[in-house]
Parts: sequence; C-alpha cells; structure tokens
Amino acid sequence: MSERRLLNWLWPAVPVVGALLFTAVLLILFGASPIVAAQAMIQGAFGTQSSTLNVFAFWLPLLLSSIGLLLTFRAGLWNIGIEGQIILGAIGASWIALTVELPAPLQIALQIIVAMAAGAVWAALSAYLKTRGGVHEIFSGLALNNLAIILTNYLISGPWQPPEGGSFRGTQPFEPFALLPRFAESRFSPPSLLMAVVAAALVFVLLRGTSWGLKLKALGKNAYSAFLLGVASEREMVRAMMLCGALAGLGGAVRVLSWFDSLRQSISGGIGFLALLVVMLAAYRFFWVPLIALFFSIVLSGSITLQLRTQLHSSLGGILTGVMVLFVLLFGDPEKLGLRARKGRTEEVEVEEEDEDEYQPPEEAATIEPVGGNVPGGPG
Amino acid sequence: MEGVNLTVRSGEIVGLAGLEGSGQRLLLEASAGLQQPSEGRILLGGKDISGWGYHRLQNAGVAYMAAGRLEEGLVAGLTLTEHMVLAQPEQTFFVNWEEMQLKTARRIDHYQVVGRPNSTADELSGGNQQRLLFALLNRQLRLLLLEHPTRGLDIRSANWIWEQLYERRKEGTAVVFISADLDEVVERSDRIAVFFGGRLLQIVSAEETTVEELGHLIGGEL
Repeated sequence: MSERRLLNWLWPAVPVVGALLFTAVLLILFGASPIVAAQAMIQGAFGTQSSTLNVFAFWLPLLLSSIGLLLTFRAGLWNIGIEGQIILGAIGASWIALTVELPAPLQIALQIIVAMAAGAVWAALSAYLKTRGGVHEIFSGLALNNLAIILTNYLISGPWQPPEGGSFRGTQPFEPFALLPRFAESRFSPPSLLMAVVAAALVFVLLRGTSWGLKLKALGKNAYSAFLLGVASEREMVRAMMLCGALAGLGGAVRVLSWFDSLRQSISGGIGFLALLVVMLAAYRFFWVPLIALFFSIVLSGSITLQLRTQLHSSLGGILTGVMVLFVLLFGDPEKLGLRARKGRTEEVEVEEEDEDEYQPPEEAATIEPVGGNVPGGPG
Repeated sequence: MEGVNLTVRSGEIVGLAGLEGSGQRLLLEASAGLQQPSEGRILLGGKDISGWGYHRLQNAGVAYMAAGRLEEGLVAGLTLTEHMVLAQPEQTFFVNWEEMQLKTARRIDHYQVVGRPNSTADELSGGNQQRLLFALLNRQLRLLLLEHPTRGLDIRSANWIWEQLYERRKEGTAVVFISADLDEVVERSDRIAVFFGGRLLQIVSAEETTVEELGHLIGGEL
C-alpha cells in the first residue's frame, strides 16, 4: 500500500527527468553540450541577486494561476480561458491605477479587488456559456482569450494611450503609489508572495477540508452521478470557474503592478497557458504545483542567458517544457502503464432469506398524470 | 409518449413492464424531474410538481435509482465516506471527516455493504454497489423510482433489495420500478403498468395476471 502511495506521489518526477534526458540527447545530437547549456541556464536564472529575484517575480503570477486551475481541473473543467482572465485582471488593475487616486494601501487594495472581480467575471462568461449555452469551456475560453487581447490593444491604442504618444505600445507608467512595493532593484514584490501564500492555503483547505471541495471532486469524476447524489453541478462549476478567474485576475494585477508598471500589449505573455502545463505536469497534485511552477520560471528566465552564452536559441526553454508536457501525456498515469495492480473486487456478503410482509394499501401519495389528464381522484 | 395516466398510492409497489424503449424509463425520469413533459401534469400528494427540477423533488422526498450503478449513481474513485458526505441533505462547510467516517461505518454495517469507509465505490461488487445506493438514501421517501434494481445481481442480493423495498413500503413510500424480468414484475408488484410503443396500454393487477399473459401484453397483443 505505502509503496504504491510513494510511487504515486513521486510519479510527477518521472516525466520531468525523462524530458531532461530527452533534451540532453537532443543537444548532443546537435553537437552541443548539455552540461554547458544547463550551466548557462542556471547562471541566467540565479547569476545575480536581481536575476534570482526576477525568477520569483515571474513565478508568482504563474503560481496564482496554477493554484486557481487546481479548482477547475478538480471539477473536470478545462479552463483554457485563464489567459484571458489574467489579462482582464491586468486591465481591471490598470483601470483603477489610471483613473483613481487614493492613499497607497487603499489604492492597491482597490486595484487588486477590481482585478480579481474582472478575472472572475471573464471566467463566469465561460462558465455560463457552458452551463446555459452548452458551449464547451475550451471554445469559449479561446474566444474570450482573443477578445481580451483585442480589448487590451484597443485600450492602449485608444482611451489609455499615453498623451505623448510613447515609443512602445502600452499605457503610461502608473504613479508610484499605485505600484506594488518591490524588493531592491528587482520586479519581485513581497506583498505578492504573501497573497500567493494565502491563496494557496485557501485553495488547499477548500480542496481538502470542505464539502465544496468534495463536490468539485465528484463533479470532476462523474458529473452525472454527482448531480444525482445531490450536487448542484451547474452552480458549483460556475463557482469553481469564478474563483479560478479571481486568482488569475490577481496574477494579472501582479503582472501590471510589479513585473511591469503599465498595461502592455502582451501583458500575460502566455502565463495562463504555462499554468495549464504546470498543473498537468504536477498531475493535479497540490504540493507539486509550486515546485513545477518554479522550475518553469527558472527554465524560462535562464533561456535568455542561454542564448547569449551559447550558440543555442532561447527557444530551448520552450522545447524543454513542451517535451515535458508530451512526456506527461505519455507517461503521466502510472495506472495506464499497468504499473499499479488492479484493485481486487471485494466479495459478496451473505444475507438472510427474505420474508414478505403483509401490507395494507394506504392513502394516495403520488400521482403521475400527464397528457389527456382528466384523471379522477387526485388527492383529497 | 402519450396516453400515460397512472396513479400510485403511498405504500404501493407498481412495476412498469414493457420492451426496452417503450417509454418506461422516460416516465421514471419525468417523475424524478430529469425530463420535463411537454404536455400534461405530474402530481405528488396532490401538488402539481410538473416542471420541478430533480434536486427540488429530491428534497420533497422523491428518489431515483438508475440502472447504471457506477455510471448514474455512484462516483468511481470516491470513497464510501465521501459518498455519504455528498448524500447528506444538509452539509456543513467544513467536513467533519472523523464523524462521517464513523457514520459511514455504521451505515454500511447496517446495510451489509462489504467494504470499508475508505474503499472506493468502484472497488465494490455490483451487489454491494446497489446496497451502498440504498445506504445513501437518507430521507423519509414519498416516492422511490428504480430502474432495473436487481439486474445483474445474485439471488441473495436481489432478495435483500426487495426486503429493503418492502421496508420502505411499510413506511408508506410508493415504489415504482422497471424490470425486464417479468417473473420479478409479477411476483413483486401490486399493480403492473404495461407499456407498448410509448403508450401506457393498461394497468393490470399483479395477482390477476401471469408471466405468460404479461409477455403477450408487452408484445402489443391485447
């Protein structure tokens, strides 16, 4: 038993290690040294204090989104629209940053609340399209992602265009009081870390200890049985999507308020899609999510240095993560590979012989009377 | 479907007989609130419940047990305790797992489910899955709708199921069931509603019919 549990728990490491080996072989085939590449990558990620802090700054929105996705995946939902939810969060935070002036803590609190609300609303659109309109969340999510990008482009080239025109595509930098406090000369903001930790703890408790978490689990495994058992499936799906959207929106706020200082054209930069990969790679297991998200942050932050140091293109980071996901899909489920013994069926129990009861037909209880219904009777 | 006109009394067992696809399942689903009739009315204790949803009817004391135990009833991969938590009429926000574990242990003991609170539903045999479904029925029921309740079960489990249903009947629950086993329908029902081609052809008293006659009736031979 415990061996199986250990195997289960450690399993997410298998595709990671497999992908690392595969990429190493790929590098050798192209005549490059995997060791040099790894060194350059680690150097790029942790070479200086500020590069190290930037790894963590990139990690936080990714972590927030991934944690949100744990909820939707648990409910069996493919929240591809998370990218759009991050973007809407960024737009929501930017809207307050550009139009409101409050004392710093209030300003930031309001920005974050609006960002979370915007992400939740964007997710609710996907959820309602699914429950009311029968549109699969993957399709509505993709459409809403594009809409979010179009909305960003409209805002930065229209109403929120900087007055002086500006040389890059984005809004003017927000006032300092609107930005999250950053650590040293980096993009890392300690309050964001605190928010991520709180969010993670919240999701952990929701999934482990509450009846809501159990309902999501039941929905994800068999939505119809869950419904028959009494789970209000549509309502719980909408709630799961909205909470995920709120966390993604928070991630978007962290992006504009600390990674950048304004709303940019590609404000998310694919963090939502990356988060989907993180959660799949973690095999939907809570404790693996922060580690895998950190690993992705290191690889992606390091890839840029990789290109500068070696002749290798920075897309190597993308190749590595892509191969990993492929390996997860191939080897992610130990059960499918037949490594786990099928659970045996328990045996039938003995039951005493029946004895029939006498009964009197009592008063009327249930009447079923559709169509052509001039039924006599009905209850008194 | 048309021409359906059926009144079931409290404490009565009505069998729905007919070839597969003759409308019996639709009638059960409509009575459970899973299908909405385009015309006509459904009454429960004199109250018009046409248009009520499944969960509303569930709270009003209507239970539905579908034929696919592991597809339309239990959740594969969830433990018996988790099922018990989900089936509670009222849930607390935080689950008291220890208490629920004990409650589940008592309940599965009472319903003679061979399994532990931590077993998953798919680890149980068909008979034990059916027992578990009965163990999950909490409330005082007014109407219990069953689709092939004993299909695929050994004779002991089938007899046990019927003991449970007779218990329910004594408490005043109206039982409506579908079975393809005509012997069972004739033996267990008080009255039998015969379906053919989407119509309720007639209602016969179980005492006054035979398996052979019923076989002719469901084939459309009047």
